[in-house]
Amino acid sequence: MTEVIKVNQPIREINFEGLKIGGENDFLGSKPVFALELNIFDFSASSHIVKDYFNSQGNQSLPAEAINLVSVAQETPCDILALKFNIPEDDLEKNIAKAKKLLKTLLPHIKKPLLIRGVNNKSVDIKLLPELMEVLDREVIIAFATENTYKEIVPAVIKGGHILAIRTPIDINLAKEMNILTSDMGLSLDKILIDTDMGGLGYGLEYGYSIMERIKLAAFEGDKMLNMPLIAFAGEEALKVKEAKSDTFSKSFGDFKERSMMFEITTASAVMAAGANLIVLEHPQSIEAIRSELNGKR
Amino acid sequence: MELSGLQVFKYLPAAKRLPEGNCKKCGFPTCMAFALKLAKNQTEIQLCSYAPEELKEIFEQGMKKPQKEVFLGHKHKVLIGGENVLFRHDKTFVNKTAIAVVLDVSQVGWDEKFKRITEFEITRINETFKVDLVYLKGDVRPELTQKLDNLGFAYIFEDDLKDIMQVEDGNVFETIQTLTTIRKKAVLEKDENYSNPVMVYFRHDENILKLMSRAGFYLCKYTNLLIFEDFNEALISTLITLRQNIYTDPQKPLQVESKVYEFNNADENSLIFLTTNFALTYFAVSNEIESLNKPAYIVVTPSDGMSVLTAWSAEKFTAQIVAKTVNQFELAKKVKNKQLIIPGLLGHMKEEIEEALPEFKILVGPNEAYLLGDFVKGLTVFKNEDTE
Repeated sequence: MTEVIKVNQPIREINFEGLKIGGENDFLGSKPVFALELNIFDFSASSHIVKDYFNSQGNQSLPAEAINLVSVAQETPCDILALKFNIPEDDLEKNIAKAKKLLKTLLPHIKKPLLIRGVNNKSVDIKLLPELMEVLDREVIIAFATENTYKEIVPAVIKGGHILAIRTPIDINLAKEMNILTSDMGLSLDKILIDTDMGGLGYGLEYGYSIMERIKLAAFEGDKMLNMPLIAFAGEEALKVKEAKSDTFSKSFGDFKERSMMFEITTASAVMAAGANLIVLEHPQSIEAIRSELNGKR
Repeated sequence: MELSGLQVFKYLPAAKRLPEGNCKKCGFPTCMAFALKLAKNQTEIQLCSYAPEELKEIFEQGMKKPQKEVFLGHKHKVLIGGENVLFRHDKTFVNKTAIAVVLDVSQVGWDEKFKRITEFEITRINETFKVDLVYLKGDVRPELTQKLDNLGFAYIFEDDLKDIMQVEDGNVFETIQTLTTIRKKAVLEKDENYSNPVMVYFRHDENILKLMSRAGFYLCKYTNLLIFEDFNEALISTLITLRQNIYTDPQKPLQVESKVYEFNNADENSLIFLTTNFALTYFAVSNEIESLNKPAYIVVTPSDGMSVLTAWSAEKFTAQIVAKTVNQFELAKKVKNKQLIIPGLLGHMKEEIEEALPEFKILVGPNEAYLLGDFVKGLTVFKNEDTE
């Protein structure tokens, strides 16, 4: 039988603040890295289970509260601390200045490797992310650039020596094209994370799942423009679906809080199976549950 | 590997210009005719005594089933196995991973567990799900099996699992590698030693979240049957949700029916939203509309299951289609609030649609469904100012 010749190219290995992301040459050839994401600018936007864990409703946006959230988060078994600067769209300049100040205040308190994230809105991110990068005193992961924002974001990423997550809307060709375009601008291929985007559990997760698998297969077969590690914002996707947000379901859907946790955990399991290398979650216990199973003996 | 007729022909005597070419001994007039039939699996390679070993091997390999299908159950049955790809995008996964729950009648409280298992039922995306199999243990009386028969449940005993390969629920990393190796042997090599469906048995686990992480993983890669000693509704419903995603046929876009959907007791003052019949688009929108707790209609256009932008570029979402859909359901008669909210991504169609639907004022909604809440808040303020 004629067999396809397998190049068996490994995924690029990103070395980030002592963490190794990627590097595998088959599905699950390397263990994923976990980031814990906090809605640091406006914690009240967080899921009910996250608010419960941190024992905060996030009604006050005082720096002391943010410092406290960060210190609690750092005690959890995450590899990376992810801060989402979820600023509102109005009064942009004022809010960006506020976010910048907040980041500056937090930096000395942050010991874990850091990921900085914008709001996924073009007009905000093209201003917010470069401004935030100005106050950084270390290498971080920036999330994320898109087809519409990379021109404004990439120069600051290169200047700061950061790693960039690039999001494309569940499209393997566009993912590749974006890697080419950004590397043409001078961004090293070893500084790119692919964010395929995904659907929520029960609401199209399979689209993201299959794109991740297809990107991995293309990478293993030798595509040098697709062999960057994959990042998946699994927590956010899982916790925004109805089943994880609303307790109006019948009792067969199970306990609301338990189900919300499980939605996040299962989404993480699925993207891990599909090949995600960096999984961003919002509840520390989700990370703990998966992590202990990956490392532990049973 | 499947060969085309021409590829098969290249192996046969006529293609090689051998004296045996077109000998007709196979019953076909020419080698080419035989090759075409072979490629469609409408005849057998053995009929040609001149076919080279290489070709015979290809066909023997092709005849083998990658993974066996097994029916589990007695009166009612569940079919598992039969998978023939490693990745769902290669084709599709065939028989959903069955979810079984252990019911041990020698344990205290089994009758309560029986009740919970049999009452469990969830409906998602036009499908209703129950526990697939009840795994009976202990001294099971015929009344119990009779009861399960009557309730429509399939059940199994230990002996029924003899054709299922069990992989131990060990360290996740190692278990996944074992499960992957088995599936690869079955699908890529068609190795008969690995062709039985595969199961993982989960013993009681104090930590249900850890159990969840393993179960989700094994459902994706690569089990045909998951058996749980614990019965936890949240775990089973979450797992079924994941299964519905993974087992969706990637060759068919998920569609919903094109019609007007009503929410929160829709009335004449309802908000009216418009979107395409791509299931994911519809669910994203309906999800938000439901949680608004405001009466609303969603008008769903017939767009071949395409998302908003795709439908627009394929001309499956035009002002004419919109107008036709709205008119077909006589929406103008149903509502006083003649404002139609179109997807933000198609904001540029505002004028066209207004022309095609002169009775309605067209409002451009947000680009993303999750922004609908904020959009509607703004809208109410706007309306109040309007009436003042």
